[in-house]
Amino acid sequence: MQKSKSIQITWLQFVLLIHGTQVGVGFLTLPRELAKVAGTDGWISIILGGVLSVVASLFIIHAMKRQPEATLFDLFNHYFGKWVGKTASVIFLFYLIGGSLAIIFSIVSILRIWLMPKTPDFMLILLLAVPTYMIVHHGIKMIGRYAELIFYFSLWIIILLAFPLNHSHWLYLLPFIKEGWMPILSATRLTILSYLGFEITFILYPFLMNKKKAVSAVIVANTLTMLFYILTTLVCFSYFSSLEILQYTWPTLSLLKVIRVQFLDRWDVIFLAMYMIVISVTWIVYMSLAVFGVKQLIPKSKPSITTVVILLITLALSLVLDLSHTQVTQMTRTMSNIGIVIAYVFPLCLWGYVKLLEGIRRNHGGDSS
Amino acid sequence: MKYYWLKICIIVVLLGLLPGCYDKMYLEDATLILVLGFDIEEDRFIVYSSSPLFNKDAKKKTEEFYDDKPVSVRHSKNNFDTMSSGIPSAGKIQTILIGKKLLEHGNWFSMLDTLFRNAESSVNANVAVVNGPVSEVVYYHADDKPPLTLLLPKLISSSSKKNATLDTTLQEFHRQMYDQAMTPALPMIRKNTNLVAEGAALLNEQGKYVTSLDLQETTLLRVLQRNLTGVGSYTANVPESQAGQPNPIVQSKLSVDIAKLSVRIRTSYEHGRFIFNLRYKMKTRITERTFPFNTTMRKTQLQKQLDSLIQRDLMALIHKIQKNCIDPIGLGIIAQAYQYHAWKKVKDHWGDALSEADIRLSVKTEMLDSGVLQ
Repeated sequence: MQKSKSIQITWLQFVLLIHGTQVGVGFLTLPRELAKVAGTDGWISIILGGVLSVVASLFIIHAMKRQPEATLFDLFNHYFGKWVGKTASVIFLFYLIGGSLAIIFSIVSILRIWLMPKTPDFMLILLLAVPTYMIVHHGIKMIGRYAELIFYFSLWIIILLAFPLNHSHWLYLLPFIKEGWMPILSATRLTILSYLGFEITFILYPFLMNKKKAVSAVIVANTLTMLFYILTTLVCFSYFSSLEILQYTWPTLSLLKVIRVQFLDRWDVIFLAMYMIVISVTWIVYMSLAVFGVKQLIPKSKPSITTVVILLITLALSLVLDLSHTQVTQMTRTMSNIGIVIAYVFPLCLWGYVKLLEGIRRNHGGDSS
Repeated sequence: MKYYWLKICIIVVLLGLLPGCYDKMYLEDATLILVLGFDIEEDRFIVYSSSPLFNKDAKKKTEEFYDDKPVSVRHSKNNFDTMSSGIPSAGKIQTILIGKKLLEHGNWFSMLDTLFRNAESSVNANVAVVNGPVSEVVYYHADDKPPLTLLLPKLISSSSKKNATLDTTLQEFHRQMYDQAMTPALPMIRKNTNLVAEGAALLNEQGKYVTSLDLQETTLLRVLQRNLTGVGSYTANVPESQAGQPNPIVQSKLSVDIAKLSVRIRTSYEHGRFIFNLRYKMKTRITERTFPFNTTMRKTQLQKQLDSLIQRDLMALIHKIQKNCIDPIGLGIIAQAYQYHAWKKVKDHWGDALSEADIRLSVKTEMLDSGVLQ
């Protein structure tokens, strides 16, 4: 518990870490998935999903507030006892590592389809592993800086989105709420998947410099992500006709393919190469939190060795499994479903448990530790 | 610093990995397909391609291939490989030509699937209909013209900038095909002695050729689509009786440039049919007037006359469209936006619904100037 004092991250880094972790591979497919369920009203679901994720983040912060210096791993031990706590920590660790792997495999599979159909996966993963190692083994302070840096680098994506606006048909968006609220509500289930990433608050909260600002931080982070999603989705919906968008697996990439300037074609290639760096924040954050978690569970372990082991496992898996795109999608879906439990259901339970415990202690006049 | 050398070694090994990108292709090995053509000749589906030739010994600067027994479009790309000096690459396609005969068959659109499915192929190519056999265009070669691969995109883009034809990219065509609320329209070219652009071809929901528009009608279609680029030019015969003194040799012509266009469209649904109220306001400049007329004194009269002329021609175009049960204007998009529930019932046969619709049109022009002459 004392260790966390030495590392601190600023408010901005905290915000951008959450935002960076949220914006991942899902962003590329989100417009199609939304259009399938809710048609062009899908953007309303994004707002609803955003509200839900803010609420879930607030629950996390409220549950963590009692023990401001403790990460989730300490809380597990504190509230549930040693063995249950250890088991819960291991499950959470597996979630972090699994999430990280799912994202690496997804981006590699997208790269294979869009850019390099003939290059084997392990080659790409090998190339990605080196910079990943260099950032991850430095720990949490470094990923905070990395997330901030990458955010500034990614701002130009918004300018790219302005190009297709020339040929947009904004009338496609009308009328709002075409088929009533039901499709919009059922699409909200999809959108909350793309907000996954704020659950890292469980681990990052103790490192935040000024804990009073934590509430504003999670609100800003989720809103930032929400605006980014809404912008992209609206541009996609107004550019593609409602049946057409269902044809594209990655509408966002197909959208960038149409940008035509005199000196450069195939903007999707440039975008994808840059966007890989944006997505890298997601897997790097998950992985380095996993490394941090291992250190908490096994205090003797060395972060750099843990990182190498995780990366070697990734490489080995890519060699052995040779995943097809469908399998990767299946893997991401499974991880997202686990993520929903961890990010939306678990905070509520934890908060309720903490409240209950407090109530019992107050009634019995017992000591609070 | 004890890992210093180890780190350098790792970096060198990893740098060695970088050229391991398996997907490189040397430009000198590639045959860039710039023009791709599809046609039906003697009941056979034929794929044509034209590529630039970068070789100083070759007199002709393009090479053409055709495949008269293609299993599929994708398959014929492989067949081109056996004929060309390099590996055919579809990433740089500039123009896609489609023979009118193929269009008359309908349901041909799925043949283009490979162009959309492969990430490498370009969706920004211009699509054009050839009025006549595609082979005439693909094998067109003139000493006083740039090579076909350069000529075709120039021809289409320059005439579309003047609103004389359309500028439909492959992506835009894909959108129009999948949009239930409108039907596609493509630019049309033909080979006389030279290659010429001649208006637009209108297709129905299934991509089947329905009718064609001449240059003036195409400009008016773009007016209706609210899609004028720059200025649109319009010429009309002015009826003799009102044009001052009749002239036996020269017909009375009035040409204007439409400089600014503003449109208001109201739509409603009554008694099982759609009602569209289109109100066009145009700012025009006179560019030609071959009959004597006192423009300063009787400006409003000329404006009124122009109003009715444009209205007549636009209405004729709308009737032509309605008669053919198509909707290249995109009125369906407006119906979808403002009368969604009524539109939803007819979305599978929107062309028929539009043909029964009541379209009212009013045109109001305002003459900005009459050039440097009175």
